[in-house]
Formats: sequence, C-alpha cells, structure tokens
Amino acid sequence: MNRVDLKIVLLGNAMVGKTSLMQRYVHDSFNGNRPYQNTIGTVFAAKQVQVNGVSLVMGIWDTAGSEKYDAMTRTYYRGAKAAIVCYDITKFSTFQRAKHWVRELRSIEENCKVYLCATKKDLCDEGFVSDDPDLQNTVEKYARGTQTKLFITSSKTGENVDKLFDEIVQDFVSNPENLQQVEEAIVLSRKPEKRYCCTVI
Amino acid sequence: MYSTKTPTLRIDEADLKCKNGCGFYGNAEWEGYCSKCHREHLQKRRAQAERTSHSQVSDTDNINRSLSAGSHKEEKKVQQEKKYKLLNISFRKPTAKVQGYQELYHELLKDNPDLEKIKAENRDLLLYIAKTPIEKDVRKCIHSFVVDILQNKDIKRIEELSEITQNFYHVFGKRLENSTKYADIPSDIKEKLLDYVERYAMTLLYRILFCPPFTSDEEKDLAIQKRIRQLNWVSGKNLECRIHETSSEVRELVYTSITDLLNMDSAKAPQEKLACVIHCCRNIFLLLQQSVDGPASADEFLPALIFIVLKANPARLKSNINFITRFCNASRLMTGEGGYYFTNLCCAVSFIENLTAESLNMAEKDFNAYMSGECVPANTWESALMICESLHFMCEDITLLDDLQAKNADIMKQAEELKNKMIEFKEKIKEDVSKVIERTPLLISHSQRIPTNLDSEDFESYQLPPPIIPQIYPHSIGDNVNSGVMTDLSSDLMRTSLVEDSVTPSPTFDFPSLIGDDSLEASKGEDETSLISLDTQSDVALGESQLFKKHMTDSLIDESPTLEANLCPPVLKPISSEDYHGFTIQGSNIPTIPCNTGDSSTADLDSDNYSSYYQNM
Ligand SMILES: Nc1nc2c(ncn2[C@@H]2O[C@H](COP(=O)(O)OP(=O)(O)O)[C@@H](O)[C@H]2O)c(=O)[nH]1
Ligand SMILES: [Mg+2]
Repeated sequence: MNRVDLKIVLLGNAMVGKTSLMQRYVHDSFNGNRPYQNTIGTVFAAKQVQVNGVSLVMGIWDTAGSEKYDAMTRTYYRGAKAAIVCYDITKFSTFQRAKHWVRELRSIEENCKVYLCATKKDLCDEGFVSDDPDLQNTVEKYARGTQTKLFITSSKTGENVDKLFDEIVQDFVSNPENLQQVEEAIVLSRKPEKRYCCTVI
Repeated sequence: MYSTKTPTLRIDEADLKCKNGCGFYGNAEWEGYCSKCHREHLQKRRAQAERTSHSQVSDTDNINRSLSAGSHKEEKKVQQEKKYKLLNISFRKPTAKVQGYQELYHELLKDNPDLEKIKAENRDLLLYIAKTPIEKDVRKCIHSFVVDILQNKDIKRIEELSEITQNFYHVFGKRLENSTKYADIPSDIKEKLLDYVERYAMTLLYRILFCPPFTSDEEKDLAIQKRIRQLNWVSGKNLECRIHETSSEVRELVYTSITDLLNMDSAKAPQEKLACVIHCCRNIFLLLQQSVDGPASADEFLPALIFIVLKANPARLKSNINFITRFCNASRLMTGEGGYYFTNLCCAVSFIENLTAESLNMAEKDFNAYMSGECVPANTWESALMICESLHFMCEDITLLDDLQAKNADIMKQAEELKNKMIEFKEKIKEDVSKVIERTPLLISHSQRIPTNLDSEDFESYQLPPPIIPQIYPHSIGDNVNSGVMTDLSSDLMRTSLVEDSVTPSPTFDFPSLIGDDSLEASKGEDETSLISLDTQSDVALGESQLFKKHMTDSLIDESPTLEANLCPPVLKPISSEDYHGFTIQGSNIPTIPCNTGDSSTADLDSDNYSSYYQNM
C-alpha cells in the first residue's frame, strides 16, 4: 500500500468557523458536544483515508487569519495540495478577505487547488440575514469567474462538509501528477539498490 | 456548482495559461510559466550557467567564505558573538581538514554518546531485527547514505545535500514496503525502522550538516538573536496574546515552554528537535486553555508562540530551523503534528524579523523609543522574563567555560606528560651514553692518544730546534760545526717542555682576538707591503682567515705544533739548504719565508719538506 501525503490548509478570518469545519470533518462533532476533543487546541488534525488503493494521509492545518500575519501565511500553505478558503455567509467583509487569499494562492502556490467554502449555512436557513443581501450572488459570480469550486456548508448540521473533503480527495487522486510521485520513487529506489550492492561487494 | 453562463469577472484564459502550453496556469512571477515548467526552465538555465563557470564558482565561493570569515572577526564587540566563534572553532575545525571520508566516518562513529543513546533507546527494535537479513540491509543502507553525504559534503550545495537526504528517506520508505526482505514485518515496526534510520543517520552526520560553514546560517543566527534582544520589551499585550500572567500555573507553563524551546538546540536528530517544538507548543496550548477558557484557536496560538520565542531567544534559532527544514523527513513536516507546529515556529520567526510598529498596534514614535532603549517596559513580570534570558545565557556561558576548563586541564595534562617524556628521554640518553662509555673504555683512551698520534706524525718536529734556539744561535754564530750538536742536545732537552706546550696552548696565541678582529682583512694590503716584517703576528695575519678557521676547528692541541712548524723554518732553513752559507747569509733570506707560511698548503708542503729533510738527516 502506497502512502501519500495530502496537506490541506484552512484559510479565513478569525471566527468564520475554520476550526468548527475541521472538527466536524475529523471528529464529526460541533462546539459543546465534542467527545473526541482533547484538552489541547484543535489547530491540526490528521486523517487517513483509502482511495483507489492508495493510503492518503490528510494533514489539515488551521491557520491564523489575522491580517497582521498576512506576510507569513505563505509559510503555511507551502507544499499544500488543497486550500479551503472560508468565509462567513453572514458577513460580507469575510468574503473580501477570502478573495485576497484566493488571489494569493493562485499566484504563489500553483499546485494548490483552491476551494471556496461558505460557513454557517444553518444560520441562513434559519432566516438570519446577511449584512449584504447580494453576497451569495457576488460569490457565485466570483467562483465561476476564477474557476473556483464553491461549497456552502454548515459545521453545525454537517451539511456539505463531507462533500467538500471528498471532492478534495477525489480531485487529488484524479490528478496523475500527485500519484506520479509514487511511481517515480519506485524507479528511484531501484538505482540506489544496485549501488548498495556495489559498495558492499 | 459550475455555471455555463459567461462569467462577468472572467479574465482571458490564454493570459493565465503557461507559456509552455502545458495546459496549467502560468504566472508573471514565473516568467509566464506554470510552476513546473518554470522550475524546469530554471534548472536548465542553472545547469548552463554551472557548466560555463564551474571553476569560477568554486573560486568565488572560496573568496566569499574567506570574506565572510573576515567580516566575522570584525564584529567582536558583542559577547555572544565571541562565544559563537569559540563554539565554532571547536566544531568546524575537523570539517575544514582535508580528510578521507573513511577517516571522517570513523571519527564521527567513535565515542559518540548520542549514537549510543539512540541505540539504547531503540534496543527493542534492534533486538527484533538482530541477526536477520533486515539488520544487514538497514546497516548497508545507512552506510551507503552516510558515505554519499561525506563524499559530497564539500562539493555540493546544502540544498543538494538536503535533496540526497530526502531521496534517501523516500527510497528507504519504499524499500520497506516493496522489498521482499521486509515483507514479514508489521507496519508499526516499519515505521519505527524508518524513524530509527533517520535518527541514527542524522545524529551521525550532525556535525557535518548542522550549521555548515559554507552556508550563511551562522550570520542569520546572530542577526535574529540580536533582533530578539532588541525586542525584549515586547509584551504579551503588544502581541494581543492572551496569557493570564497573574496565574502562577500559567507562569509555570510559560517557563516550561521556554525551556522546551531552548532544548531544541541540544537535540540532535531532526525529529528530536521537532519533539522539543511539539512539547513547547503543547504547553502553549495548555497555558492558553487556562487563559482563554476552552481550546485555543490558531489565532490565539500564533501570538503566544511569538511571545515565547521572544522571551526564550533560543540559541542558533535559524540554524536549527534550517536543519529541520533540510533534513527532517519531508513527509513528517507535511502531514505530521510536528510539521504543523514547526511551520508556526517559522511563521513566528518571520513575524519577528519583519515586525513593525504597525504589527504591534503602536505609534511609530513609541516603537522607536523602545527599540532604542529609551523606554523600558513597566511590567515587572516581563522584566523578570528578560532576566530569564540572561540567566539562560549565563548557563550557556558556564557550560562553555566548563568546556574550556576541561580543555585547558587536558592541555596542562598533556604538557606535563610531554615534560615527563622529555625528562625520561634525557635520562635515557644519559644512560645510553654512559653505557656506551662503559662498554667502550678503550675508545676513550684511544681518543686520548689521538693528540699524541697527531703529534707523533710531527714527531720529528720535536727534534726541531725550539723557538728559543735562535737565542742560542747568536752565541755560536761563527761556530758552525757545533751548531748541529747543539740543536740535537737542545731539542732533547726541550722535548719534554714542548710536549707540555702542545697540551696547553701557549698563552701568547690569543686566537679569539685574531679571528674576531675585522681589521685583519683591512690590514692585509698593508701587510703585503711590509713583507720584511719579522713580526709573527702580522705574518700570521697575512695568512688567509681560512687557516685560522681550520685551526679553530681542530683541537687547540694541534695548534701549537703547526704554528711551531711555521715558526721553525727561519731557524731551520740554514740547516736544510745544502750549500750552507752561514747564518748571516741565511738571515737575509728570512723575510721571504713568512710569506709562504701564510698559505696553509705551502705550510704543509714546507713541513713535508722538513720531515723529508729530517729523514735525510
Ligand atoms: N451556527 C453556526 N455556527 C458556527 C458554525 N461554524 C462555526 N460556528 C461558530 O462560529 C464561531 C467561531 O468558530 P471557529 O470554528 O472557532 O472559527 P475560527 O476562528 O475560524 O476557527 C464559534 O462560536 C462557532 O460555534 C456553523 O456552521 N453554524
Ligand atoms: Mg480557529
């Protein structure tokens, strides 16, 4: 069984629900009822899934969203294969920040696929009105224009959360480049093996 | 979720695509290529450049190294920097030496307590694989990797060494999964093996790969250290980090996390260093939990970590970060918890490096005042933490001093040993010499006879009339017949006294003054004009200084007879000449003789003549 690492970063303003999203996916829990929640903070999670005969180790990284740390965010998404850019469906300003990350990811981390994720859909369903009524439209237009996949999720109900991560895994596995590495490595392993023999005899 | 409608924000896709036409998106930063094509493009260009200026590169490299070494010496003021140089001398010297890699390999293996520790810690694992083909294979893999690094350490750049290392981890990981040798072992053992191999190889190569002299790691260490010291006034409030410093429990956790972070420098293997970072970060989460109620988020964690880094000011921070980045198994950094915390540490460091008044939410003026040291923080606990840093430095200094003391003691011990050896050697030589003397007493008596022998060669010269004889002659000037008898008699009488003379040089010959006198050369010309002079001193002076040198090298005992012989001719000549015309006529010939005596060869010749003459007689 081949082991492949998949690094996923979560980006978004503070309080948009990044941690909740991760908790929902990894531990299938939300806020108070967190049976798996350890006492330590929940900023990192690893989850292993089997897809197409490949053992995929997902490392999910929560990040500091404050603008103060903008300059360092690059360090976070270095080597990431997927980025979930979150915005709060009820707050227009969080979408503005989301656009900034999409732009930056596109320009800096070429091999990182970007996913737009609206959070707190349940609030919307409950009739909570966003501070910008046209937000949903704007986002959809933007997503189409930049060819970014958009998911509207709720960590509270778990709606669309698994769908989002499944999509990420599928996209990752379907890109031959990501699995190519594995084959390359096998070829590489042959060459030095011969050398080991040479050095010993 | 995809729409078929024409998007309003659409950018022309062709502009976004890679210049190479590979179908991926391009980017202005990558000269219009996509990342993959750009990398290939760069590699091609780099390869070209390297081919054309390979020799130059190594030259300039050397210059750069020596330059950086030179500029180092200039920044002597800060005590810390001095300390680093001391440290570096101790661990850079061996790498600078030109050594066969095998020698170096042995040196690295020998007396390495860290390696022993790793072996002890992994005893169960090693027992599990002991005496199986796996053990042999693991050893083989490590060996070939270490040799690879040792052979390339001076030729390749650190990035390439890192690549070799990462490739090794990857290949070994694949080998564990695909090779039939490892088919039977459970996957948890495989994981442990992979970890063990990394730990062992990196600990072994630590001295070579940590802060190597051909990188700028050291300068960066000093820069960040200086920067952090400048920022020691930054408080938790400035960073908007919520640490409840009033709680003693929280304070205790702050100290623990600082210690954890400081421990990173003394750990060797990358995963051990990473473990220190993990400990530190977990403690930060614990203290945040105490401070913020409930689990902390990334937005609370990062400022707290920055705070801890600022207060800890860890030694060789950049070197440690670079070492982990380059030589820690990349997969561990990518998806492991350690990798996450490590990335946060990198972020914290980069925040500290780029920190401005704005990022601390304070006025430019206040910021500058703090930076220049005009203002000092009012918070007592924060100030106490500053002392914490100083205490840490003191500890480091103490260990450094201990180290130096140990070295000093060692040197003293070796010096003492050397002294004893010298004394021993002296005694031995003395003993040997006295033994030889005891063993060959005849040789000594023989050597005592040597002057006698030398004299016996000139034995006939004793029969020569002594210099006093001229005093005798005047009495018998007219009495030619008696003169021969007289000479014989007087020579017999004088012989004993002459032997004595030959043993103790005549006090009238003051050689040192003759030789040391530079005026001899100067007076030479003058002497040539005064050939007639009967003065023996000037006659002798006429002779080449070589003659005197020869005399000096010979024993003084030889001196007198030769001189005696030289002095003799004037006296003897009358007798030697067959047609003897009496002393009066002979006397007119005397002045010419000193001229000949000046030349040693003629002097010898003369003495030969004399001996033959005496034989004839
Ligand atoms: N109703 C609702 N609340 C949410 C949802 N996701 C997050 N929240 C709340 O939003 C707040 C911030 O969430 P958190 O995950 O800590 O945000 P982060 O700062 O981005 O990590 C918390 O009080 C959550 O309970 C959601 O899907 N629905
Ligand atoms: Mg969070």
